[in-house]
Amino acid sequence: MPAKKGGTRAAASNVAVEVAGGAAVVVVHKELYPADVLFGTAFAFLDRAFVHLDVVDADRTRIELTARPGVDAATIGGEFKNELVTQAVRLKLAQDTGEVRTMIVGRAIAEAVPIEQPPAFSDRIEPELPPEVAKILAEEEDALDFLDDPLGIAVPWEDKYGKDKPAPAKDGDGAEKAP
Amino acid sequence: MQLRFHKRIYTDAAVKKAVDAFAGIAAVGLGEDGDYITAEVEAVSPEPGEDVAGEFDNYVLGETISAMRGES
Repeated sequence: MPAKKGGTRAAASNVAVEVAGGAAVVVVHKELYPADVLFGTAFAFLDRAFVHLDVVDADRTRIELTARPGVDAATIGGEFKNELVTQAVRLKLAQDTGEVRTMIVGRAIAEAVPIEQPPAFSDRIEPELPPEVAKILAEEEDALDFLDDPLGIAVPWEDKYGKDKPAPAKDGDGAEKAP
Repeated sequence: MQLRFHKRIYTDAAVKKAVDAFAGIAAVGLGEDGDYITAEVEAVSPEPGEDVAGEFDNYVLGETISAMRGES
């Protein structure tokens, strides 16, 4: 389709590449490739070239890529143009999906927040009781003493059934020993 | 070798960070020329001066991008 081809050439002319003396020079228009795209692209080439940016005029930026040893300047110039497109698409997608991504992350964080712990036992508020029940509970509480031992549980075994004191006879023991 | 950093692209802080980072590798003299920050880079290490200047150039760009992204 000739019309489309013509359009592509026209667009490509806004990103001129010149190669000379081991360096590729690319001039880009900021309306096509904003600063975020340009910096992202330049960053990706730091390992293959020495990258220097300069201002041509208010709308255009000049990028000089001096190829590192073993890297072809013409190739790197072409790859730089490709990377410009990749970064531009990435930026567009990031802008289009930014709101959704923020919502997803926000929801994930909200769900990860732990549920509030129940208050400690001492901090619990006593439920409201009927007055008569509350009165009985209060009386019992007053009457309670940790030293009380009505069932003799705290008495040592020796004191209760020591050597001097006869062990309580069991039923049947006396009957067997009796002549 | 003189490098010229346009103030609309490169930040002053990025150039200064690069000077600090290259302290043992290159002697760098900073200056200003209109909209440009100039850096006269002379290699102190045995590496070729052009390579050191190129690495300095990349470092300044890297620092500028990091600052723009809020990484430093």
